[in-house]
Amino acid sequence: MQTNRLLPFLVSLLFVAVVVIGAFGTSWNTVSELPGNPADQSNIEGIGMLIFTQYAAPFEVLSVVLLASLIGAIYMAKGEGNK
Amino acid sequence: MIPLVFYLGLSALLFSIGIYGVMTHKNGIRMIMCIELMLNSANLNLVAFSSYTGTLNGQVFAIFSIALAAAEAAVGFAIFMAIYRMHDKINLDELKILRW
Amino acid sequence: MVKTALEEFAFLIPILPALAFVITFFFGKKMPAGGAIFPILAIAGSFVISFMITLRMLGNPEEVISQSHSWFAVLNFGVLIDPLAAVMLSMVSFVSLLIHIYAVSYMSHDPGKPRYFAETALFTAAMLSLVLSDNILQFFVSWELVGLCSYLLIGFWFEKPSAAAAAKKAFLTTRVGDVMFLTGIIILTSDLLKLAGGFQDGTYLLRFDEIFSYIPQLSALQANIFGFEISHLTIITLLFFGGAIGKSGQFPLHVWLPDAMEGPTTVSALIHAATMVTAGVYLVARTFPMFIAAPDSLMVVAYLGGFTALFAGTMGIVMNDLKRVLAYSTISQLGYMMLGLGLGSVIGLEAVGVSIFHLINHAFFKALLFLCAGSVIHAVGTQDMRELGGVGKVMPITAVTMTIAALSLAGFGIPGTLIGTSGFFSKDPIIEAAYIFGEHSNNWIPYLFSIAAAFLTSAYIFRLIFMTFTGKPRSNYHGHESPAIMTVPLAILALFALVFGGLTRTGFMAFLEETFTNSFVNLNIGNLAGIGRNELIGTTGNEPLLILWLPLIVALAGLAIAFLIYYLRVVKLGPLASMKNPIYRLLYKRYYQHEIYTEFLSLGIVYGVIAFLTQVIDVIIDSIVEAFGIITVGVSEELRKVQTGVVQNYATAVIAGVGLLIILVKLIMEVI
Repeated sequence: MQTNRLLPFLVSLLFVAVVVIGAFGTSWNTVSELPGNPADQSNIEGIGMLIFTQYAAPFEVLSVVLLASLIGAIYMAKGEGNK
Repeated sequence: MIPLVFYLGLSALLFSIGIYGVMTHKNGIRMIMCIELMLNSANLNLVAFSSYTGTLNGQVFAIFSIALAAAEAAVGFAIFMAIYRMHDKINLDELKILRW
Repeated sequence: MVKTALEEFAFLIPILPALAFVITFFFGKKMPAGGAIFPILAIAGSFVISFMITLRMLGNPEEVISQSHSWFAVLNFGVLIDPLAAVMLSMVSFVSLLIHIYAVSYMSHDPGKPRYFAETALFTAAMLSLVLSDNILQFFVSWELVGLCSYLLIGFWFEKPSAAAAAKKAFLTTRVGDVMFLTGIIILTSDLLKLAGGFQDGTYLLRFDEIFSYIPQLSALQANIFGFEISHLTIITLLFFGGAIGKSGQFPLHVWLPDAMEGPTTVSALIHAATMVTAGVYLVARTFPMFIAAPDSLMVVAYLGGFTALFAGTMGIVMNDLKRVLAYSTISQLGYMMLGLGLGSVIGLEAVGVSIFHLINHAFFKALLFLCAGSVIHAVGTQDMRELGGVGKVMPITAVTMTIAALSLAGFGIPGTLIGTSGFFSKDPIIEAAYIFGEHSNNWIPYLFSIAAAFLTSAYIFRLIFMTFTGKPRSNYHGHESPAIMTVPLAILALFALVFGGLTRTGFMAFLEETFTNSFVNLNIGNLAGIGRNELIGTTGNEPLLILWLPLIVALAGLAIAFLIYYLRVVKLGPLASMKNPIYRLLYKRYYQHEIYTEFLSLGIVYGVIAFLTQVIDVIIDSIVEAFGIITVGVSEELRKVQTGVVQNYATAVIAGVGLLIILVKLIMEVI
């Protein structure tokens, strides 16, 4: 278990170096200033509107996926012996 | 205000830690934890971009992604339970009945 | 509105049976009657579409349906329905439909029903797609599909060694023709590329109209073979005809057709009447402008067709197996069709009309003959005519319909009037055309062939009728009339065999002569004939009275002889039909074809040469192949250790790869 940790370490280092250099070297097209008063932001309301209007269909699909994985997990975790 | 790049850097760091964990740990549960770490670094990216571009889509994606992560973790742990019941072990490198 | 709608449905004609094939093949086992309903419905749909198109085209034969889509490069796939294709489509789907309905009952005891119906549906689909293909390549693809299906269906009862052997024989024999056909296509393509100056966008090189437009240039290209100057067009058409020989069972590649009787009788009916064998005739008719523009090609077609008609007739007269007699009759009738096409060198485009007319009529009465034979076999359980006899008493409907078919096959009718069977109206014009040919060129060989074959046709088919249906039973059998689902198709086909020819005679010919002058291709056959140095003279129907009556007279003579020998039994058959009689032995052994083809040609020459070559080449090739094998095994023995199966190692490799790739891309972009 302790064998060969050097290669993974080097690889992760390489990865983080590439990504960080890439991120710093890019000029991101962002808003110049965050909204001034954090208390004014009503993220929750906006997210709720989005989920139930624009993203209603993915939301429904996601609920089905969750249900399916729930049933699957219960079925597999239950095993055959202890019904 | 904090530049966006710092969020991205933090996210990259978290992701690399996750990768490092996945690459080194043999224990299945730890691997799933590391995968969760990678997923959450991606969520961090989503939320950061969402804030810095003034749209909320990214945050909605982050919520979806968290929900999917929950599903994935549930299935993953269930599989590990089934494997443990069958082989009495959870270390993935010892499960090699399908290998050459 | 109706017009456009119909055209859009044209592509469905082959697609419907093909879909039925898929459905029946995979789900047929769970359906009642082995899923026969899907092919029947699909083919009925194809028939309705084809028939509506034909009806509409009758009013306006100039307006053909032509849809082409680019496939790749300068090749295309598409639909072409001109008068020729329209009548073929209607006939194929109609006869196939009746055979399918009949087969529901005929195959009712067979465990392999879903497979049977799936394969016949595919067979029909292949034939329909062959008929309406608008380019030679699609034609060839369908052609091969037809060949494959015939292999599957002839070998339907593959647990029988004889059926498996027959299927193999059919496949290999037609393959000889197919290779010639493919060679012809390859030569044609390379010539066309040369003439058209390479690939050009927007033209479909192998579409028939494109090919026909290059006929004069093709004809001008000369090749030097063994010191003879031969036009490329002649080579190509003769190679095409080689394919037609294989598919349509002409001499010398006819050997597979009689053996194809090993399949179920309905398959024989399908092969002999609607699909497969007519493909060869259709090929020659479809490329008729090329044939007529090629010097000498039609001559070969005419001679070979006439010879086959006579040759097969002589063998048909000694066969004792019900279906084999019919098989030789098919070869003989196909010979007539080829002869009719070959006589295009004097009667021009009328040859296509006459020949296809005979093809259609032949489809009706030959399907009828086979289905009647199937009815007898189904009821009685034997197909050896020596064991039959008196079947007419127990199976009256079958006997009547079969007699009608026989009359039609023998071509009974009164010249100069509209009274006559279908076969009369199509066979006599061919014989008359042969007479015109003889009068014109002083070459009476085709005419003699055709008259002699007419006599033999009548003799063998009435021998079959008298031996099977009259007299006393020569063995113990328990026959019964077939159920209605079998007799109704028989009755419908009998009606067509009786009156179709008389009703459509004039209209049909005029309709088919529009095939090459319409919105798709517009050719002057007279000019093309000039290129091929063929002189077109006159049309049929104006011969001396004796010539018009002669076919009927010889047919009556054949009937009379069969009646005397096999009904009244005035001649003792014993010494005549024994193995001591050299002529009988020659005929019964089918001119020793089996010995010549199998034992001498295949085993002796081909096998001997190949066996020697193999031994020499084996050593060389083997060592090379072995070396490759050893290297591969050795390398992979080491390489497979890379695949540890541990996810972590893979993850490491993936991440390292991503990182390095990004760096690499960045570097390359910097350099550029």
